[in-house]
Amino acid sequence: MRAYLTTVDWPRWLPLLLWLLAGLLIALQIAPRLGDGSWQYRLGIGSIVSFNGVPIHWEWIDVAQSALLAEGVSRWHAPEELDRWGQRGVGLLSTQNASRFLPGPVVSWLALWTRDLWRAAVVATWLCWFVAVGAMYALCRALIADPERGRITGIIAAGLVVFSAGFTARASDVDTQSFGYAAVVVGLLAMQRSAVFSPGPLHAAAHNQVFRHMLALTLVLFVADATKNLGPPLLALLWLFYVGLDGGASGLPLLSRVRRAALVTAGFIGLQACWWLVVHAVVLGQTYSQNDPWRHIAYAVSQTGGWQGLVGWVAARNHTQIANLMDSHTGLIVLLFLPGFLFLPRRAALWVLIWVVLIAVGMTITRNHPRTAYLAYPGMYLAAAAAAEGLGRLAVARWELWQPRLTRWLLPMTVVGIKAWMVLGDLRGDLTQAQRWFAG
Amino acid sequence: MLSSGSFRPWTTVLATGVLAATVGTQSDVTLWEQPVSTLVLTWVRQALGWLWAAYVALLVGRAAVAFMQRRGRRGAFPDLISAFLVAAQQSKVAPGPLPLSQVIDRAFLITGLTLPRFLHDLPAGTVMAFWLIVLLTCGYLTLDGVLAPHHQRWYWWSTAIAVALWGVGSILSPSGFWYPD
Repeated sequence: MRAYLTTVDWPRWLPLLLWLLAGLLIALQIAPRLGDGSWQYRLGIGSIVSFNGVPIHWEWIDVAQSALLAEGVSRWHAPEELDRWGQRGVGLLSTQNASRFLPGPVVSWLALWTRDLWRAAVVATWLCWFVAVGAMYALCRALIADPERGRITGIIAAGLVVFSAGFTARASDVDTQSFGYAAVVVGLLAMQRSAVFSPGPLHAAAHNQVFRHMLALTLVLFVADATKNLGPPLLALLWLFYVGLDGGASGLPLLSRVRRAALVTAGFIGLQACWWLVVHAVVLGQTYSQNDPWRHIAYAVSQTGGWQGLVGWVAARNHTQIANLMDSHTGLIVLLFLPGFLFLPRRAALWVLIWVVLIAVGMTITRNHPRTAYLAYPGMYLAAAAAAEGLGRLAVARWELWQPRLTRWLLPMTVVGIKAWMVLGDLRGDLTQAQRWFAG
Repeated sequence: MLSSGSFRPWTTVLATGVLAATVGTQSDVTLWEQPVSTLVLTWVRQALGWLWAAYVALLVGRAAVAFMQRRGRRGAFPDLISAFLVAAQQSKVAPGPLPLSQVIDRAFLITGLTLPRFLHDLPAGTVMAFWLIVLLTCGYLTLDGVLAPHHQRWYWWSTAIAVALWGVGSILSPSGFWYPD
């Protein structure tokens, strides 16, 4: 019996089968949500426009603006019939679309093959979703030292991503959200795997491994930031977890950790400065501010009105945050989140806690929506998967059950199945999950 | 980097060329018609465009010089296939990953594939050039622990083809995908 808790014989064909299954399930979920099957269209939300006959969310123009910036087609030298920048704001480049720059050029590049923007965006959503599933699995394995537990937890968490409300909500849109959801888990994985804090000398020589790892991490953070402004929370995790609370595990002195994290942070800020210089130079400063995080923070500070006001304001925001967390991740995941801490190793539990708190703080001071709350999913799903894996393991250890291997997988698969039932509700005519997602 | 080994001559040539091109292409800008900030940004815009194009041109020039020198040493002009095989053989035995300077130079060279798309407005191409350098460097540094050195050259070939396809596609259909009927 104990053998099932430590080693399981994994057939060689199983990983390939699981990857194929994940890709197929994602495609099968996207297909019925296209066009008039999308959540927004079925809810009758008034932000839908027709794009070559396909109903999509009107904010496709934001992605288009980034693509036009990349292609050098700006309003001051574009032919009259191509001048569509005026559809956003006052005809200037939105700072949001400059900061969330990458999805536009990627969709534009894919459109070379699909010969259609909307089809390219659907392909991009599938790719982002698939990457997120793989990265979620790898993240679980990287954070949980026990290989067997890490693998099972990873499969469960990847299954939860397969039935994701976040990707489903925008499956038919030309939007940046899917890119952000993929980038957040890839960024977290890159940070966890990075050897930035490995012992060894640091100098700016071409072959210095630590220096190369630092540069790679800086670039990954910068690229992730260009999808959904993910740089600040990822950098905060770097400082709080990898330098601070878990820093001792690396074997590096605190001062060395601080120095390396400071260099990564400075590199990130330097890249941002270069990017904004290029943007402002190229568009001759003709931008307008939209959704800038620092403006939201300034507004939040102005609303608090001193320490007493701050407490009340944060409490009010947190009330809706919990609702948003429930709406975006489903009640099942929130329910399993707490027992997950009991089963997660201390280091992974701390990591999960910090990431979820960081996203909650980010929501408090910027935008409080289910789509923002969903950025916590790597932490939420990891904890929920650990709970499912741990409870299954506990059941096998406690009771002499028939078919222990099957029993160990029964609970995790039930959890993934319930999640699927909730997210796939719209296919049965139940739009509860869709309403919850867009209610925020 | 281009400057490694011969920092001053290369950077002097580059800086002088960019400055001259920037000043030369600003002759139609009149001081009294626009705010100073716009004027400064216009100069920065032009300088960025020329800097990018000049750096790519110098990289291509250096590669051509190296090729001609190799030809001189061999006494005969090697055909392209032989040159490719020699380069492939050298990359097979090259120990370890590429130095950062070479990674960035190769990324710059690949950005050169988009130059035809932006010939009418070089500064507009600096957005794409900036991101290509970031993404190509990021991709290489992330993969260099995963790919074996003799497989790494495929990274540059495949990314170059992808960028070239974008360049050709966007010339044939500039932003045509973005406008619904």
